[in-house]
Amino acid sequence: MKIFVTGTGIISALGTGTEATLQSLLSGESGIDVIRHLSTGHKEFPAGEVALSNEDIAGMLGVGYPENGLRTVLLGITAAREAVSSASLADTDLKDAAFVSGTTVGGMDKTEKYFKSAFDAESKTEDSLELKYNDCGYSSAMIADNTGCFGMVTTTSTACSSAANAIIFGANLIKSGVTDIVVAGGAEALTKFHLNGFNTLMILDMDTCRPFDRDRAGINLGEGAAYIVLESEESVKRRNVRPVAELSGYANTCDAFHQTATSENGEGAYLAMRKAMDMARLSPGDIDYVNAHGTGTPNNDASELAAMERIWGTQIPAFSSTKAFTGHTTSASGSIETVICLLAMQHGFIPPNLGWRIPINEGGIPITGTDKRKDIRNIINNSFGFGGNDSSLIFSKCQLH
Amino acid sequence: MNTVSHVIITPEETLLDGKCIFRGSITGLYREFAGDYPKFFKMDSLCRLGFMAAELLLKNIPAPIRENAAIVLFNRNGSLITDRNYQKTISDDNYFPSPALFVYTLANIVTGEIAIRNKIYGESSFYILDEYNAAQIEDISASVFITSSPSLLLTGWVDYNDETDYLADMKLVTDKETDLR
Repeated sequence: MKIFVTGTGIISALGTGTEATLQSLLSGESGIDVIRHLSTGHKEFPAGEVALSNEDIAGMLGVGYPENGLRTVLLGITAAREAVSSASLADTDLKDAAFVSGTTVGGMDKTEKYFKSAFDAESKTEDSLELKYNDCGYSSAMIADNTGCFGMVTTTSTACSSAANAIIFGANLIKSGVTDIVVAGGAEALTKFHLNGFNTLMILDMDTCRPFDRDRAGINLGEGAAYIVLESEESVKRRNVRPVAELSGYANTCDAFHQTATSENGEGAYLAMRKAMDMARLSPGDIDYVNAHGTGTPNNDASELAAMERIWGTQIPAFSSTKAFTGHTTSASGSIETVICLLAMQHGFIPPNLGWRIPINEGGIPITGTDKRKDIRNIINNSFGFGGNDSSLIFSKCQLH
Repeated sequence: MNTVSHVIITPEETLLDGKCIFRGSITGLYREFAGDYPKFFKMDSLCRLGFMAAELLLKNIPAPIRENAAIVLFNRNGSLITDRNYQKTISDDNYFPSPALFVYTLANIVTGEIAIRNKIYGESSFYILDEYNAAQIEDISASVFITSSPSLLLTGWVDYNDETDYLADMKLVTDKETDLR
């Protein structure tokens, strides 16, 4: 059974909307800059923040309290509404559709703001109510409710592979006959919680990140949201819409190695890419581009490269990490990078791996310039999360019967 | 789906296939039924709970079958108890955050811990639901067999609020009659 992508929506440091994202990618300009919106003492770390403030986004969307104080929700609504409208989905299409969203941070920004005062005698009653928005499921429900009246809403939370797993789960919902249409992706705002957390793990780079560079020193965090609309072939024909691409294969595997580190031989990553190719009935030579997870940490990139070498040997296809464009958008990265992959396929270019200078080894040379290629048929998009949770998605050029 | 084995762990008792096998804390349960994995003591409460449920379910399953298993777990509170504890460590201006605590501020670390212990390389997912919903858990569990054809699926609810309020209700299931010896 074929699963098609019929719409996309995105907001990230590269701009608001699919068209703005394309222009930023083509111009080769990174969205990583000094931190402006997040209230933090750690201004020494650059990040890929969305340029707009909460007030700007709430105004643009026409939403009030409590959404206007929840950045994950604001980013999510922006991207979800664009996805729904770009797929020309009407209210009647949504009533049986599912909304599947990946997030880990959820409403953590409210918790950070009100956590202390929620336990103070004077402000306790009112402020403690703000903590309920912390919940990841609640955050997804608010995004869904502000986008349309969906038949089903659920949340995947598997750290940095959350959005990729939301897409996998959405495809499974269609294949198992639960629904014909799924809006799937993820949303994640930058918070003190994970900036401090990643700093605690000592994997943030004070400089701009350099994925796959020999001297890479860690992550720049980012934020954003992206959703894609998944549809069965039958629904595509019934609605007479033009698919953007086919989701031809996917797999999720466990690295079973460590809570946060990845194994030296990239077992989980290797298995995820292999199994996804098996599902898509593609051989390694059919893959034209790999959008790597490529966080810029010494551990991830070495492990991911090892996994690619196990599959392709010295013939690794064109690959790049786009995290030097967007920052690592954690739970949203799987869907943000999916939209980037779909743009690359539609417009025939490979997004460059910014910041790269020196190879890790002779095989590990990512695409750096804007590489114009006429035909990109099959793309692998990797997303790996803490917990050893590894997912690969394969998007292919459409072949409608 | 066929249920191979079913475990329920609450603060009151631990039931394995409907039979009470233990009364006491999760640490007590570990000493009684595992005892050989010191990393247990580094885990947060959610992981300890899910880990022990998995220990009881998987103890008679041979390694080659375990390798291709899938893990799909659900709860309502995510990793909230550890999120709160971690937030306490960073709420002072002169804070010293703990990496050992931070790694557990993700709900799906419990699936990772179970996979590491049992060398499980199959699909692993974690869903956060608004509330316990048996039908949704059943649907999602069934969908796992559509694509990845795992040898077995470890699935169910694992939610930890505090030491008086927690529940693991986990099952080992297959999609057909499978020889698990």
